[in-house]
Amino acid sequence: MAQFSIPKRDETKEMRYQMGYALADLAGEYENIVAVDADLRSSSGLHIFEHYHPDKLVKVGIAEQNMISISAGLSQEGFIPFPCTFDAFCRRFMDQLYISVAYSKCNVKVLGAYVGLFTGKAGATHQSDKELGLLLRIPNLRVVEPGCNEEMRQVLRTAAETVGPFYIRIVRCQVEDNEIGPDYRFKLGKGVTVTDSGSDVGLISTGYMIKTAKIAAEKLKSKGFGVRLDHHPSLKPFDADLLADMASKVSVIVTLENHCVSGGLFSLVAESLAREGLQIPVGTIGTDPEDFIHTGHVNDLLAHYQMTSDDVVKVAEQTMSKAGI
Amino acid sequence: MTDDELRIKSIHYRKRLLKYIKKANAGHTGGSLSCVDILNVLYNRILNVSPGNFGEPYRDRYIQSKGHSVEALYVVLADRGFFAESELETLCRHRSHYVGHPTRKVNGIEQNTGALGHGLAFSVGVALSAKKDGADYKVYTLLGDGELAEGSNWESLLTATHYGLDNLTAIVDRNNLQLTGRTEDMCNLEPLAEKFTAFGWSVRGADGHDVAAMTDELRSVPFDLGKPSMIVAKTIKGKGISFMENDHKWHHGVPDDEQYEQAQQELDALLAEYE
Ligand SMILES: Cc1ncc(C[n+]2csc(CCOP(=O)(O)OP(=O)(O)O)c2C)c(N)n1
Ligand SMILES: [Mg+2]
Repeated sequence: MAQFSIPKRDETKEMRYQMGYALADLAGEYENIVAVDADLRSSSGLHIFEHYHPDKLVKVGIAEQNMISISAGLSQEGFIPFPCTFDAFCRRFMDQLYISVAYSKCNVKVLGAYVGLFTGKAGATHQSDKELGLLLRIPNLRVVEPGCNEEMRQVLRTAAETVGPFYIRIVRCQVEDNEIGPDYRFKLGKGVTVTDSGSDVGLISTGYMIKTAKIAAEKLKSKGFGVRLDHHPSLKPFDADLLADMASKVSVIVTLENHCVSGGLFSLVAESLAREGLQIPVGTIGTDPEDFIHTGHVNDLLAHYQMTSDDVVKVAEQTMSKAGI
Repeated sequence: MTDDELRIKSIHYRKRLLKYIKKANAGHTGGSLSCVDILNVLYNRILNVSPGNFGEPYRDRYIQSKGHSVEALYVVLADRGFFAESELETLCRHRSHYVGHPTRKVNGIEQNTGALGHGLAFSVGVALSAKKDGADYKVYTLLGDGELAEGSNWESLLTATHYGLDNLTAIVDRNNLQLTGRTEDMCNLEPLAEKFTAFGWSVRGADGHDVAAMTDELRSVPFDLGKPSMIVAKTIKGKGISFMENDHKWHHGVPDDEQYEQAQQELDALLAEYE
């Protein structure tokens, strides 16, 4: 029942709720921002937006396809719509996104809520760990996955201020306000080096997994390894230059994503390395592309899919030993 | 089974589904309480389906499109012997097959659902197969009223009429609420019966908590030869628990200890009336 109340801004660390506040703030600045809801606002965090801007919330019923094409129409006439539903339901509206939004370069900013493993106990219908496979291959669409609340706020602002379609992946759970540093500025198409203590292992994170990557980096360091951690919130466009720089300096790479290990971050990294002719072993952290996600507490699922910081250490060591390091 | 025996069963079903939701600390409470009387009638009076014939091609099919109300389905299936009720102790736990939405890993469940807007189309496919095979089993599906905003339903309504699927019965759990509020505040559905009629279905209304009335309607399908049948079942979300009734906040609310005790006491008081 907590879901229907408005958590205090300075008391909640859940990204969904901070998203609701951030979007409400932006709508105070930009007259033409509207949010579009398909009956999940009390879960997605849009109920906070509704609280501040009841007139700027468009309710379309439980109709995700409708929601996306309606948003395209709203954008055509000058609104900046932020349609939001569970990320899993983008499987339903992929064609609307592809045709109505991306093909026509409409100024729609889709918010995919509850991405990856963090949906609770709902089971495979509600979990979204395969969708980047298509989202990252839709022309004109920018795809961003912030890892902390400060970054999420900057990403929303960038989306509002940059003309064209965006897809923003938002987690449900608590995250730190700033994982990167007080001076950090998100830039579309850019990754950021978070720590750099040597050249044995390169960790590459996106979204929520920055947290796990930071913990793993500390554990690897205490085992005597030099570690560099790059965070890539911008998946499309992707910062191939930062990747090439890392690949030229470290011995092995491990990618970390709140998504399956095919079609998402790992695929971007592998494609980019192959294209540049950069040969370097890459280990992966993420879910199994052949599996429908099980039900269970997030901690059970993270253990099941071997996505904890200890798993990162293990994969890094295995990748190094395979490479003879 | 007499009507009163069914009514007593409904109270026990309510007690059990609340018990397992409480235990799992998760579940779709309001919608399960809304549809459990309908499931009671279907499984105890209408459907030719049992653990013994579940694999047989001639069995009747029930497909729950509003998959989120799976707790109601679980307790009814357990009561019908599809699995031991104790299995529900594992509801929503890691590695349990008793997930928060229906899956075919659970004995008795026909189809995986939970993303809304799939069940009617699937049911049309099954009913169409029966027609093609000359089989005489019947197909039943349960839809949420909020769910009707999904356009896929209206595509399926057209197809069912096109193929004259009078072996198909859809029931709408018309509780006027969805997840975040009233259906009519988010996507106006009325005049609903007229819409179904205009799509070529034969439509009747009934009180979805009145087991006798639901039995009468379900026993008289198809309402018209050559047409699919639709029952708009008037229901109350959260039915049976005073403080849950007609409050959308109980859609997926889990009672705290005190609320849980009160809910069980209210149900016990209802049971006492039958003694
Ligand atoms: C495609 C899809 N969109 C959204 C949801 C989230 N959701 C689950 S139940 C629900 C409300 C359903 O309302 P209704 O169909 O009226 O069911 P009931 O009132 O009987 O619970 C919503 C929005 C979903 N499961 N699937
Ligand atoms: Mg309803």
